[in-house]
Amino acid sequence: MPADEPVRVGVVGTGTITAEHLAYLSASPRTRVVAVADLSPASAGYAAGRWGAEASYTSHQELLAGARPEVVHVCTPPTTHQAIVADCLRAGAHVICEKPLAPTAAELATLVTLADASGLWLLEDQNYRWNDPVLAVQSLVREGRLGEVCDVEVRMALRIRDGGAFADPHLRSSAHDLPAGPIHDVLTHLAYLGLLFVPGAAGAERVSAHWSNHGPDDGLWRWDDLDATIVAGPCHLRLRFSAATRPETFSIVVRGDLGEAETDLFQPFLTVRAPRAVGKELTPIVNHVVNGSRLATAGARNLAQKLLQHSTYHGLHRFLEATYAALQAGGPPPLTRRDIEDPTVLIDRLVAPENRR
Amino acid sequence: MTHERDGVVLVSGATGFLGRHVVAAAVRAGHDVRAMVRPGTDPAKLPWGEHAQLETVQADLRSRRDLRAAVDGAETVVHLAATKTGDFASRFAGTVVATENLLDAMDGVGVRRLVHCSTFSVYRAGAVPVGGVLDETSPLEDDPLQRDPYAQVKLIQEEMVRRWADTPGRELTVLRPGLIYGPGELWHALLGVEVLPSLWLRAGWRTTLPMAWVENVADAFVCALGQRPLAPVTVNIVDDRLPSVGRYARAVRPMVDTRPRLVLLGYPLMRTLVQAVASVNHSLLQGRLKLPGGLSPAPFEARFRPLRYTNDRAREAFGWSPRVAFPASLERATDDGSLVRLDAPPAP
Ligand SMILES: NC(=O)c1ccc[n+]([C@@H]2O[C@H](COP(=O)([O-])OP(=O)(O)OC[C@H]3O[C@@H](n4cnc5c(N)ncnc54)[C@H](O)[C@@H]3O)[C@@H](O)[C@H]2O)c1
Repeated sequence: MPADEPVRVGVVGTGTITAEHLAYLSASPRTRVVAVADLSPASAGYAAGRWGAEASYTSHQELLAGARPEVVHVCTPPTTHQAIVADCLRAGAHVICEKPLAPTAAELATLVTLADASGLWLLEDQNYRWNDPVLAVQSLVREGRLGEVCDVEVRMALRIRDGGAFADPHLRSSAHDLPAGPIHDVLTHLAYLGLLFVPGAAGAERVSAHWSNHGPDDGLWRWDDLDATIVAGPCHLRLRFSAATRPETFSIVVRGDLGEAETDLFQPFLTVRAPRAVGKELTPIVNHVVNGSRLATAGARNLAQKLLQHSTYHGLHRFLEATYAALQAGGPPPLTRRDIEDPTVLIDRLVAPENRR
Repeated sequence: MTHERDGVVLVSGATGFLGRHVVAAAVRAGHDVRAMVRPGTDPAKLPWGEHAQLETVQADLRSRRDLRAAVDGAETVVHLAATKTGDFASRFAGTVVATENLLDAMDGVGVRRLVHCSTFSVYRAGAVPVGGVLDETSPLEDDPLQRDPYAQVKLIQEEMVRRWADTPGRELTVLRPGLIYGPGELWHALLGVEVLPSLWLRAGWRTTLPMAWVENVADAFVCALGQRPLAPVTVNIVDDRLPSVGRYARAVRPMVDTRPRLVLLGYPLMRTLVQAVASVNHSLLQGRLKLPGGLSPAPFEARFRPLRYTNDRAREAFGWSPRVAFPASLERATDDGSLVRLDAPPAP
């Protein structure tokens, strides 16, 4: 792909998350938005006008035929991904698809085969990998400050039963048709973040997942709670989703044989309890003092970031920048094949009847 | 106010704050009404009770499914439905895409008459001189991205129904109510900027509020049904003898649960502050600073600019006049639902 010419990009689905994709695409000199498509002409037309896309269509087939994009972003609801992604690959376009790329590993495999046959990129948006707190914990691990990682918890609390699309009794969300239901919509995030710190989790020998419905049984929800434990060799990974607890959090705790770090992606902060160069006696005290002042700073920074629109989606912009930089430079994509496949394999195992509790 | 019976009136957003009153007023005026309610709505919880002129139909405007059948056979559609909460995308889906689907269904079954509910939010209040009259000839917002998501989607929605009405044979009336108040909806965003739940900053005390009592607005929709406009008609709906911020706030304060303290900064001072912050944002922060609603210039002007209002056109166009006036209206504001009951004699 010539580095001096912007990549021709098409975007399918112009809903909530698309605005983040288009904010990057319309501002980046690397890309040119040749078309957007949505089932609603008004929605596609609005997105095209708002973000300067050159054309708008009401189906992805028309977009592919009419605009001949080199890359397509698939931002439609998850249950539609399979058919749309396959058509894009057949039309010779690289695909960047919103998570979950595919509901099962088997369905993902057919898309991977299709992409490989044509030498095309097939990427899933794993945006939180590029968020500041995740990068910070990763570098602590890389520097050895926590020692050998042996216990990781990724926990999300979201009030998905208190309103919003998944809880809408009038218009049933297609997310209820995913293998894990609406939790599936965020489970990809939990899975790839867990795998970032426990790479062996997808092939772990012991997996047990407690799926529950703690909310009222209104006929809409099968599960609204997940408590999963994955033991991979000496390493424990816990993936936890709750619709009941407050505040809303997206926390990661990484414990090693030397120390532990904790962070949150919704209200970013970072605390580290690890050896310090002040001796054994003073280390806990210094940890508390350092963490206390870090928490206070985090409060101020979060307020500034809120006002200055450094949103939780900043990782998405970094992911896209890394992707287009690599595409233009002819380098490898920022996510490996395993990065894409393992979360889906792990989710398959969490919903497998033999692992369900 | 009895009209000759001229075909079924379909009301979207029928169970909403305004919709329940429009349905009741239209039935009382003699119309056959079909109230569109969302799938899964419990019929026992509908606000009107049984009435021979009232039927309900279940449909969700965000989905094209079942919409044609829901609209089929109606003579006129009164379109009130809009999504007033959530992020931009869910408001867009529930307001703009919903309207697109509704118009599509109307075209599919040949319904050609639409009475559309817009809002004062579509105006660019800042373009009217301070103390001047905001009326139907005032300019519409031409920079929607400076406004809140509500104003943005209502602008797109109104533009869409106007484009629909460009086709000959279609009839459109657009009503733009001011701030609708009624039972349960008394304290509102034009009274000040919320700093804390218990503390609001007030931009004015003598500023006139564009209030419209919910039953008066419902009457206006019924009056609009009696018109068959040859070209699109647009009217603002506000009451007579409009209260000032001070008068209104004093009167409703004892009636609301949360009673925030209102601290007066005044319009000129607040405007100076808002503009100073905006220019710092523009010059030093490349416009990245995102302030809560009411603290950036365009939403601030939309909420607090001291203007005057008129309902002359609504009176002339279809003989409407507001039946209930402030502060007598507040005696009806404690209503528990009897204002819209159709199976009992109407409230006086
Ligand atoms: N990465 C993240 O952090 C993140 C956050 C939110 C959503 N998402 C993902 O993004 C995707 C979209 O979610 P959303 O919240 O934006 O949904 P949404 O419902 O707001 O938008 C989906 C859009 O797709 C359109 N659409 C549906 N089927 C289509 C089709 N066949 N062809 C063209 N357009 C079609 C709809 O009309 C709608 O405008 C989902 O996969 C979701 O899981 C990711």
